[in-house]
Amino acid sequence: MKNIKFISLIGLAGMMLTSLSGCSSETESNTLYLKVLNAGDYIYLNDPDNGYEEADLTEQYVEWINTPEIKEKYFGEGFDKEIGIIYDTYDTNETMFNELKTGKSTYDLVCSSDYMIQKMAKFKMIQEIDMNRVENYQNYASPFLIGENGKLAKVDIDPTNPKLGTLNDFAIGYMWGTLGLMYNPSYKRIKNKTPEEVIEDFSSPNGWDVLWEEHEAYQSCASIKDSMRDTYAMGLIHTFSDEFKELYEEYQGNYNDEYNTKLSEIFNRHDNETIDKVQESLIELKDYIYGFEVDTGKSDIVTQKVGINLCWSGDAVYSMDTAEENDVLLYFAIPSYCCNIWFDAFSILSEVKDERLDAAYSFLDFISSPLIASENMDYVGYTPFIAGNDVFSLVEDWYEARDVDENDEYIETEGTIPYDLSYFFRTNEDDETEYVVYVEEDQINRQMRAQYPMEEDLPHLAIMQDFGETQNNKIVSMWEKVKVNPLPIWVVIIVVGGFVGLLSFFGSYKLIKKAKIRKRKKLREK
Amino acid sequence: MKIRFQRKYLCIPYFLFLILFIILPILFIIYYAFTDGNGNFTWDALIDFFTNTNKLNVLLMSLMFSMLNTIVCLLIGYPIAYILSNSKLNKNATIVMLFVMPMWINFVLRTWATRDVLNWIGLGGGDYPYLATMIGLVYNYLPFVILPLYNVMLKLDRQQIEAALDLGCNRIQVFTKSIIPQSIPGVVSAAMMVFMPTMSSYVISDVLSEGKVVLFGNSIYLSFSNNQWNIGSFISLFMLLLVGISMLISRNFTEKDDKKESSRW
Repeated sequence: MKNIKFISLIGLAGMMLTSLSGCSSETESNTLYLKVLNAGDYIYLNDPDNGYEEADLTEQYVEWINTPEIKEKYFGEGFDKEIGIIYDTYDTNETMFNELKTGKSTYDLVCSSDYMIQKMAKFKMIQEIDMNRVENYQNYASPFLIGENGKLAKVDIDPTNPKLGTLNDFAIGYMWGTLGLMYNPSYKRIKNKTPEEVIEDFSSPNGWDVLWEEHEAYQSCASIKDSMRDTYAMGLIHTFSDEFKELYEEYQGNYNDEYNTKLSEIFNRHDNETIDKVQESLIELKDYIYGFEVDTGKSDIVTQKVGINLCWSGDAVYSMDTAEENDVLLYFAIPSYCCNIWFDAFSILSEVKDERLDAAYSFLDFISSPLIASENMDYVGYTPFIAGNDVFSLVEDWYEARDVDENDEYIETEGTIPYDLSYFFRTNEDDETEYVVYVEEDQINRQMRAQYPMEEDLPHLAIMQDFGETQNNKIVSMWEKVKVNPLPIWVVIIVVGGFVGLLSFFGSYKLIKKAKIRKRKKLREK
Repeated sequence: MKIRFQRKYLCIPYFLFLILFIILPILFIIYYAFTDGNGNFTWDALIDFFTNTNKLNVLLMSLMFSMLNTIVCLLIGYPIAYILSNSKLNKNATIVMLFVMPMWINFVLRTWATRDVLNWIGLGGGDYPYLATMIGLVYNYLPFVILPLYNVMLKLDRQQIEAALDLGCNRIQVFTKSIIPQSIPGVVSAAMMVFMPTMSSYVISDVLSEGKVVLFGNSIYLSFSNNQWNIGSFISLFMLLLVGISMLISRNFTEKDDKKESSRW
């Protein structure tokens, strides 16, 4: 009887709890929460101390979507729910994928990297996007990246099955950039090279090879990413640098689509033979570099712990800005033989439908508006997909170096050079505006180049695609081999011997002790 | 019809804790260690581990670092503990406090600070990955050695030492024949406190060696972050096994300690 009472008490408590939550959920059921998952530190946040007065981007969205006209536009008439947003972050693409794949958490929108979108699309985890519902994106995203001739359309979801479509069909681009080398030409540890020579080394077409071929000069100066894919890309470009060179010279002066296709083909090799070769290159490189870093490279180069860092363009901009404040001049190079262009984009998960889908599209449209994109770019530092005047004026704000006369017109200023961004900012064919920023001369090897590559860099940029499950595992074990230091045989013997010896000594300690006592007893008896 | 409060109900929270945070996770690890991606039973992870030279290499590297770390910590910690137990030198136990104080600060923070210090004095991990890792490990685990040794040293049987001196032992003999045997339980528990955590530590080696030294913990992390749950679980399980073995061995000494304790009373 006692037990029954106890159980019923628990039941009663439970009922009370549910009825309580029932009350609250009744009011909440009128709110539709859009669940968004993004990488950490990757969206505009309110930060008045640093001059970011506007509310968080997510809050701005909520305010915007809940105005009646806007709501009607995206949800149709008669939709009376409030819209809220739940915004979470993840740290790596792989953990994000695990989380979604195991079904531990559900989201409506997820922002991830190019190869991961490809992978998720292969697993049918995300759905195709109806571009007509993301007007801002259609109007303002740069044709360099989207549309039939954009970079995204060049990546098939599954190269063996073109019917599945391209990345263009599954992703709404968010940020993009390049993977390059950031360096400090006057770093104290660089031997026998003047700063000018260092700049020349890295901005040459085979800048990547410098770390291998000139390793005496750059011994222990560089830190590279402790991340498999980025380092693999770097090792691969070095491994095939002869082929890249051949290609580079063959098409000299006429780098067309065909050139880029061939380049991408080499860049995306991941057969066993390639993996072995890359492994050799990376093991060799390991002796020449200072170390592997997870997220410290961008600050280490500012504090001069390292002088060269393999980094993403957005981090490079951040480091160069911070370093300037400390009177250190950092440079950024994207060598021409081949360079990686990457992007992060939002995709809609496949189970999202009805009103949730409407909400998802409204969010995508919101973040694709030029004003929001420029706000985001200002805060995050990476380059958004979105062109448009708001973004361009932010770029001018940052990089325009000409003086102005009394009428606020730019005048010719010595030491500045034109930097043409029309390739990115001309969003339709009829647009003939010259989007040119006059930047300081050294910007061509610094922030500007990292923020937006030069037009002549574009043919040399390639996207690194998903390796596929089996090859990915092979590359993981390749990576492990690169990281692990093989022990010399005598160390192995000492370690194993020592360990077994210790174990057996301590294991038998008691027995020995007992035997000794017995012996002593016997002696005493005698 | 009242619910009578019984004392055994107090166990319920602990019991739940035990199940949720200890038993269940271990079961999960075992499950993942012996299944493949689809949940079928397989020995793949085991075979993979013992045939993969990388993983065995990591195991040996971790063993090497663990043993070295234990030995160095004991070599440094033993004399310190002995000196500190001498009340003349260590009034109010203040000096012990000073030695143990680093433990109050989160060790990840300390490790990042160590990285800066090492860089500053020119022993940066990029140039001396092994040395830097070793310094970091010893620095982090030294308090764990000093405390148990200090406790044992406080309880040393002074009469026995005096007797040894009276019966004609010189200082060195007193040390080897009386002090060391008496402090063995402390040495063993100190060694346990250092050996196993070193095997699984990964922040220290990652940060201080600039990613150039890979220990067991790093290997597990790499497996999990690359979606290889099964092999990662197996490595974890193997480490649990090692922990188990060392616990069994160390029991040899604690029991003896108990008996001694009771006989003394």
